Amino acid sequence: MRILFFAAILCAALLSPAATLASEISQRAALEQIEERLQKAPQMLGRFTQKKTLPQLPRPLLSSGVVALSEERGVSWRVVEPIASHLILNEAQAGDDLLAKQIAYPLLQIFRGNFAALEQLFRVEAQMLDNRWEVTLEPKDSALAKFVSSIEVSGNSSIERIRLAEASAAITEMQLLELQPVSDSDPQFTAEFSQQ
Amino acid sequence: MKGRIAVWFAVAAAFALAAALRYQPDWLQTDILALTGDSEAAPAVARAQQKLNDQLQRNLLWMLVSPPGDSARLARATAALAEKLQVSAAIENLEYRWAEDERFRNEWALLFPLRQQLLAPGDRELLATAPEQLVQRQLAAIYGPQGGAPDLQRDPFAVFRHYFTAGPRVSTRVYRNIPVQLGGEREFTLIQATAAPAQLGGRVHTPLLQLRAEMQDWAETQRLQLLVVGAPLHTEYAAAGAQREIRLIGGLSIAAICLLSLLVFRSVRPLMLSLFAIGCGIAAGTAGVIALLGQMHILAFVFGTTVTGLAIDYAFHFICNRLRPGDAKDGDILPGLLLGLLSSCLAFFTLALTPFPLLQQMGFFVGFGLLGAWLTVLLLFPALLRLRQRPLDFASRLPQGKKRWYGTALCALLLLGLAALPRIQFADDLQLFYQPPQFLAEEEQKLNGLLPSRAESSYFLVQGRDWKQLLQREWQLAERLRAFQREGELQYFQALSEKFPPLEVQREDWALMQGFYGSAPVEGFYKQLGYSESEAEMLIGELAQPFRALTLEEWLAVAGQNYRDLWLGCEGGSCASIVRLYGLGSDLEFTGDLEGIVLVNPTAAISEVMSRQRDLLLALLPLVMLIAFGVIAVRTGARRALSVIGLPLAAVAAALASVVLAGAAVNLFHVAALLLIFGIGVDYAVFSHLSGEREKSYTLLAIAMAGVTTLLGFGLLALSATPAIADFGLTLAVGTSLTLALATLFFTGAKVKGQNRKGVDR
Repeated sequence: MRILFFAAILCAALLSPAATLASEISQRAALEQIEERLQKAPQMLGRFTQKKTLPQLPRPLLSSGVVALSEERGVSWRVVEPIASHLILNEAQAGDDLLAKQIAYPLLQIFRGNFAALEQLFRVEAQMLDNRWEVTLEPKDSALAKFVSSIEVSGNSSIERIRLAEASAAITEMQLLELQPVSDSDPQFTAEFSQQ
Repeated sequence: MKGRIAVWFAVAAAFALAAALRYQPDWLQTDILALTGDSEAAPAVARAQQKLNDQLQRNLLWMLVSPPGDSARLARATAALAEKLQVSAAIENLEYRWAEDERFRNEWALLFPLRQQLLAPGDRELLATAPEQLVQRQLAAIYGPQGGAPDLQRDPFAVFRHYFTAGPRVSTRVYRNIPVQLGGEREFTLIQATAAPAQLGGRVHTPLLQLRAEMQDWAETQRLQLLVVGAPLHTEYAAAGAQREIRLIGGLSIAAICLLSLLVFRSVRPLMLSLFAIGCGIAAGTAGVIALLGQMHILAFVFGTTVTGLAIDYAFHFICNRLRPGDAKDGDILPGLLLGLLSSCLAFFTLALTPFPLLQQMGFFVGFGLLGAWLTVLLLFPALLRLRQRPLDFASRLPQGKKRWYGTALCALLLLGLAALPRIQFADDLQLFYQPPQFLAEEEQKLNGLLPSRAESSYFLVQGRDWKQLLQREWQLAERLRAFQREGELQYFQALSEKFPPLEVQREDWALMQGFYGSAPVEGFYKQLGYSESEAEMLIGELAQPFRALTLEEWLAVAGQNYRDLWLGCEGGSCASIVRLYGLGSDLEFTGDLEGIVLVNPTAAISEVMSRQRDLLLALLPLVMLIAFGVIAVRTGARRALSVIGLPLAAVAAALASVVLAGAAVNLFHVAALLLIFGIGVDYAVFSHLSGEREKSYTLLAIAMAGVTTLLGFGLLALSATPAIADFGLTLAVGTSLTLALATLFFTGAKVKGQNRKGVDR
């Protein structure tokens, strides 16, 4: 009996770090699988719909428009409905708004499918389902946690859905539709980045 | 005899007491910029420069650089580096974490109620020209993917958030509370450190340079690059260099003096006495400077110590005279010693009359040093000197010469000087004081490449009778600077009024916001977000804030350190502030038509101050010559006085010619050297001219010994790493050699005269 008890303790002691290690390894493998599965093209063009729920607002804000991803130039986010507006996110972009800046970086990495870079900032949990995957990001750092509660991303061969939950209780849900690789001379693609 | 010793002690006590009264622990300065101060400059400019220097003086910036994509490791390494620095005695405190949370909270708490009147410059322009764009911008942000939801009840257009976070644009991410910045292909973190005050002990030590080297080795093991910049590194490097030079140059000239005097006097006692006289000279010089000026720079000390070596001339003359057989005839050389002292002291005290710290300090140091050594020779030597006499007669064995050779040589050298005059060129530069070593300069360049937001050395100084007027004037300046920004001449500027505009402007901004809140686009904004008309009206009604008049003082209490540093305070009915400039394309074309505003360019100002010192000294030179001529003429008559003064004059002219013909631009330090050549030349000329027939060999011996030791001391200065000291040393070496040659030439001619008029000497 005593021997069994000791054996159990020994096993628990040995296994628990091994278990974390094992889960880390499987996480890393899952991320690698996801990154492999994601088709990486230097330029992609598609549409989006977005639902933003702000705690102060009586009802969610729905919008839709055109999204363009460029390895070089970042992300173009052009809202067509219900208002017309256009934003370009990239590394060099550093607007006046410090808050927005803190969130822009992880978003940019997500759009690029570059989850490995996010491991420095977030606890990354990846889950492989039959024909899709899901990644949940939670900030490691208390400074970032002041802005972001969690980010959930899911997709298959391309990113399909992003859900950003902010510390202010605002929730932004984005659906990316018909995301397709295009050539860098594609007229619509160049137009997305030349505007503004 | 006892009376003289008592007088010596009394004088020594007086010097010690005078110095003790004004003694302060930091009397020896090492800050290079302290030397370039100009007591003639406007007090406000001087105060501004002083405050900036104080800020700069102890600031160190440590930058840890890694390739991109390694931010978390970089942040960890930064924390480790900070810990290492924290325990070093050379670092007083440091700052590397993300913002000062508490200060931010206080600033927000005080200023948020003023949200209707404080605007970022960009928002002010937008509100005045196209307010509907502000609505569109906010809608784009809300409908955008980024999040960052606005405070729809109190700051719906994030105007206050913009105001609060506006500043130089850097892309920053925060890891473990440490901001990691992006610069081109690199990521980096910064540690701002304050260096502990420099310790100037007996040992040459460089704690910061050592710490820097150790930490760079450590960073290399972490596969990171560490760049360190800051004035303390330069100060330490320069001070260590100066200390090494004092030691080397001082040591070698003392060694030369020892060797010569042992060889010639064949006794230790004269040597000990001579060294004692020099020691007294240095002590008297230091005491004099402390008593009159309170402080002295290490560079003036290096200069002064070497020049005070001239004091050994008096000792040599006295001792050589004692070599003469028979009873001691100290009285014979007294007129020479007195004239020598008078003329040299006059020359050096003239330096002290200039308004420039370096020249003042040197003037007083050397003047009092010579006086102290002279008194020591005259008061203590008669009682203490014991020497075996040695009959000497090498003066008569000098090659025979004609008296007119001396005159011809004088004329030739003077003509050479005149011939060189038209080719004379002037140049003064801060780099003469100090040339940064390459390893520090390169590091600074690399760091600036990554971090473009380091302030320029030029800045605007704004003055007004109170803070209200000051802010108004700053505001006028800011409008000009914004135009420069638009033209791309200036990247960014930092002014109090940018964050805290004059009250009039705040009131205008308040009214602007008031009008904006009542406009149709704002109502449309709320409707777009799904509010009903009545809800929108209610929300808009709650937005309005009363105008609040805050004083500058209240704002400064919560403002960031970088803004508080701009404020210089009020004194005597005048307040002053600084406007800092970043990324200046070329020299700003700024005409001084705005009242109370001057553009200060310290580098140019320093060069200008040095040029003015040089011109002043050049103008003083003839005056000093005239005074010396007058003093000598009283004793010898005008004709002989002309022959005496001709020697230093010719040496000065020829030394100047040598500088000009060598193609160098004449700077302040050349001119200071000319003044000293004149002092030395007068000494030698006076002694040689006043020397009696039987003293000649002894006088010549003394002059030769003095000349050789001086030459050694100054020749070594020419090797100094500081260009200013090297120029000074080289010019002096040329001048001293010429002086020595001319004095010898005089003796070859005088010998003929002496033989012709045997016995009717003097």
